[in-house]
Amino acid sequence: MSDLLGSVRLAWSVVVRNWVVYRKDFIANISPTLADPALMLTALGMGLSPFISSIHGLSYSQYLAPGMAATTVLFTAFFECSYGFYVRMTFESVFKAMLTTPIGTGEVVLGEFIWVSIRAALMAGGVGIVLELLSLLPNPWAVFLFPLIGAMLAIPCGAIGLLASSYVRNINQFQTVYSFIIAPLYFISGTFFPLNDRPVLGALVQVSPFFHGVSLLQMAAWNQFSPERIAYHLSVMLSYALILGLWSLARIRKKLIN
Amino acid sequence: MISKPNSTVAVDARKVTKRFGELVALNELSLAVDSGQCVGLLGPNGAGKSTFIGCLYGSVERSEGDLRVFGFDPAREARRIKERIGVVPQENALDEELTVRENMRLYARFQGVKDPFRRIEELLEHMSLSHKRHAQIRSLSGGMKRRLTFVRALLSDPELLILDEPTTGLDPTVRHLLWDKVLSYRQVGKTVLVTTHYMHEAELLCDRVIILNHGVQVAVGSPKELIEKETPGFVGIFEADQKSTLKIHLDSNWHCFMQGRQYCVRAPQIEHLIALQAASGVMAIQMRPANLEDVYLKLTGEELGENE
Ligand SMILES: Nc1ncnc2c1ncn2[C@@H]1O[C@H](COP(=O)(O)OP(=O)(O)O)[C@@H](O)[C@H]1O
Ligand SMILES: [Mg+2]
Repeated sequence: MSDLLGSVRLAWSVVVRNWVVYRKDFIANISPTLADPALMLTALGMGLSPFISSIHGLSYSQYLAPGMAATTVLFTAFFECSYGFYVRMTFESVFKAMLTTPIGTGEVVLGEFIWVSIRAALMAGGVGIVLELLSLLPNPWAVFLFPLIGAMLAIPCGAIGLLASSYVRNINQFQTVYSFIIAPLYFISGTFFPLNDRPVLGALVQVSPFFHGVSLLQMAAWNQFSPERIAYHLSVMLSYALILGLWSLARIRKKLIN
Repeated sequence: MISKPNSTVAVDARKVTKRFGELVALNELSLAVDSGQCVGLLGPNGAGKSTFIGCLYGSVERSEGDLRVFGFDPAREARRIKERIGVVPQENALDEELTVRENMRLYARFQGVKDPFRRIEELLEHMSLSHKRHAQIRSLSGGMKRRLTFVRALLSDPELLILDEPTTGLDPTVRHLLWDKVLSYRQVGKTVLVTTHYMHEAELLCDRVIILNHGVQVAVGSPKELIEKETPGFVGIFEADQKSTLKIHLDSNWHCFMQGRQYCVRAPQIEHLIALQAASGVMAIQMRPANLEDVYLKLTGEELGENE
């Protein structure tokens, strides 16, 4: 038990380390994650809305809104755990020195997950507030649910990044991971168009961890709560978090320990 | 059983083997480091020094053999060990983006240091780095970075200090400063394990040295014992082109070898060398007692090139 507490304390010190480095370049670090959803909403929401009458009784901007929170979660978590982690691991040798202290590989990985969860929660909350101010959230209370869902969704998204970090042979290969894994997860996730009335895509997308997070955010934003659907999406998403999280832990451990 | 820390032996390795695929980096290495001792691990590049050190705190997983640090097995209880050691790794791995103090505060946190502010100031002062406390690490010279890495290793006041090539590439001033710090650390009863390929450093710091080559222990003992055993006597160093003139005057028991462009003769007594000078009419460039470098070169030097 005290071992577990010790682990959490050490993982938290990894979070502190990331924060100390992150805040050095705060503006540069935070801009893309905020700019992307804002641009998306402007281009698609404002640009396309006039041509699309309504989806399930929502304006297209309202339809897009929760997906914007999901977007920032996906990109925050994936990029931090892919490029960010990879640079720390290979170019900066951060862990070489860190692992001489009581911190172990388990705490390194746990720390990364806590770090991206917190960041994703804050970003999702921030996007939520903007959406609220733009009156794009039919359920105004969704603002409080976004950070919670964002924090959970960040785990599978970050785990994909860590797995990528453990498999790529050089940093350029992340581009391939993005094109073949992240982009499909992103564009086919219900963020941009509904999937439930498409038999093939609708069935296929069930294997995407991102889709389940998007669905939860949409239910929150649109005030469409059904206990069965919440239970389904939540349990699939958390299962992914657990499986991908443990898998990435095993992979990163192999990378950090010779 | 193992959870009971052993008080007299800091490191106990029995037939530790480490393979990287086909390559055998450590081959049944057995060694012990007693508490309060300074033990040197010597050997050419690629001998397996860093690999062994990695095994001690679990960043390298040994393939076979038994290993205990303070009685704990690093493969299973690395944290218990890491709470009590300080490591100066071969690469500094400092956070270049951060300032000296930011970096040390993080490491103080990692190591659970109490009263970190005071401890950091104390150690920066000790390593003559106080004036750099707000400097970005990337702006420090190589010698300052190395000193800062020592500060980092000493934050938790460890019982065992592990130094992996602590002075490689540093200027003599910094080297002497660091030696001085290591010696004073020893004086307060701490244990030190140091790898190096500077024999002078090993002679100066170590009670006992272990010479490794290709992951195999080729010699162990105090520097003095090893010199007595492997290369006793005095060495005269001559110009290489005097070799043929000298040869006819040599005793068959003496040891002769080329070292770079110099021809060396090792004889039991300095008088022998003086007599050699008189008989051959060739003056030595230098005459000196045999040292650990002679031992090292004798035991590891033959296959130079293969190791590199
Ligand atoms: N991670 C690794 N993967 C494969 N080979 C390695 C690895 N680390 C070290 N080696 C090899 O093991 C041998 C010993 O290396 P090392 O312990 O670094 O030597 P030293 O520190 O004495 O210079 C070398 O041949 C080196 O190439
Ligand atoms: Mg080495």
